[in-house]
Amino acid sequence: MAYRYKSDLSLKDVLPETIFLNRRQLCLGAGAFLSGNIWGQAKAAVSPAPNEKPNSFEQITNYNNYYEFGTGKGDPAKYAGALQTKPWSIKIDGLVDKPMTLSMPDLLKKMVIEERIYRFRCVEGWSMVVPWNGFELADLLKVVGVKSEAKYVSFETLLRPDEMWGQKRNYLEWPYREGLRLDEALNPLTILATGLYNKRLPNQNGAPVRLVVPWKYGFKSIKSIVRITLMKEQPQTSWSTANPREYGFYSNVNPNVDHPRWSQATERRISTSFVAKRQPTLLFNGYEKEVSDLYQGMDLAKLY
Amino acid sequence: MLNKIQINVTPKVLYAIGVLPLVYLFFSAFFGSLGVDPVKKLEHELGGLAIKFLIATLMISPIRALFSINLIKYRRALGLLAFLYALCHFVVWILFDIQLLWGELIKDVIKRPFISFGFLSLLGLLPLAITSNFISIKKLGIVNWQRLHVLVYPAGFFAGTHYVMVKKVWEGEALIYLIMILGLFAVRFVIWRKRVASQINKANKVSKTSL
Repeated sequence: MAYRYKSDLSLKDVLPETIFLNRRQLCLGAGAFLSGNIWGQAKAAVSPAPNEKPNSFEQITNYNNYYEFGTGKGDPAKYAGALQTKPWSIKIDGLVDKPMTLSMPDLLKKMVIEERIYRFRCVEGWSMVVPWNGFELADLLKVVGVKSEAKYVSFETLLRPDEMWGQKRNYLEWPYREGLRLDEALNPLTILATGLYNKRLPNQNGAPVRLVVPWKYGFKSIKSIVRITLMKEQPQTSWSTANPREYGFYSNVNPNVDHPRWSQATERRISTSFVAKRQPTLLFNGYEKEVSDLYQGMDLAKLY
Repeated sequence: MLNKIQINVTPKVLYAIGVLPLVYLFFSAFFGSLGVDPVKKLEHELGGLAIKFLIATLMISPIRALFSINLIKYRRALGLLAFLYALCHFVVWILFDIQLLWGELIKDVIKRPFISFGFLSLLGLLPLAITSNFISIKKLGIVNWQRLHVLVYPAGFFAGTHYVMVKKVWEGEALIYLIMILGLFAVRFVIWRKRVASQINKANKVSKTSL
């Protein structure tokens, strides 16, 4: 069921009309991946606070953590062009009624693409606001049918060291893996993104399809997904395998639980200005209303 | 031996060249050409330059011992440049990154080992920078002055570990710097042992002949 979440942010509020039209034309021109109706749901929304303005396309596509293409923030933009994303398919297996392998065109035919402008908070203490295009993961899981024993969802990135040179280095275990509890995966906020700014998702941002879980630290939002597996047990995830003390399975954005390396109390919104002020980090990245029910009675300091 | 290789450039030239990256970074920051995250970029570039100048400083003695090339007159300039960049790195962190949030700053320095190590390194370099002039050598006396400047070892070690630990995973470049620093320490240790051994030998000979 698409459109379950109404963002309080909309591109219309922040982009001047002319740019808005231009982008739309661009989008229609290049729209191999995106359905045309992304703009349909524009709302008479509340004007966003100035610090909630989406970051520019240039910022979002030139400042990435994507270790398959190197550990520098500029590396993915430099090297991700080598990745061949056509053809592409996602295998959905494990505890599902109808295991299947979906090609990208098939997947997009089945799903309703909508716009979601989300805050994006990295565990390293920086953040952005990103206008994604994508669909709810819950919608896809409904297509395959989740068996009642399934409790977790595991995700896997493509393994292709010839095109992703970082995979020849052993700083993480490849392929990159992430996971969610089933109820987290079914939450309306959880999306699979296929675009940003109404353009096809650039390779450095996880083309052709990536996870976006806006109330968790960015590394949970796994890129370039080729496999989704429903499981009974909590899946292994790359960063918590590499360093369990620093990266937990949940990794919910939480200003009250410090990372051993960084205080998480405040964050720097990526900005070209030298005097852009640090801002307080919000519990669940500001999505407390939408997700806090998932963690009733859990000790978030222990299950970090 | 080959103590003939002489380089006759005044150290002042080194200062002039050494501050060029700083000037370049300053202008880049001013004209907004430091990329998507200028604060981090500036911070990291300054830190990287600091450790490179520090390694260059540590190389001077081993180069003299191993290759008989005497560059000792440039060492002060290199050391001071290392300190200058480390200080700028620290100031950018305080002003633009942590933004004078003193509570977080103090907590970071105490609680987070990689920040503590960077801070300790800067603290170690501070007295060296202050005493890097002839007046201080005279006041302290050469023996005390040399003893004080042994601080460059812990400062170098902390700088290297700081750099390695800043990275979230084991990274080649950072590890190479730390290995270089430890390697240079090892060379110095060997040189020092040889010198002590030869002094003991000499002393023994002297005492034998005097018998």
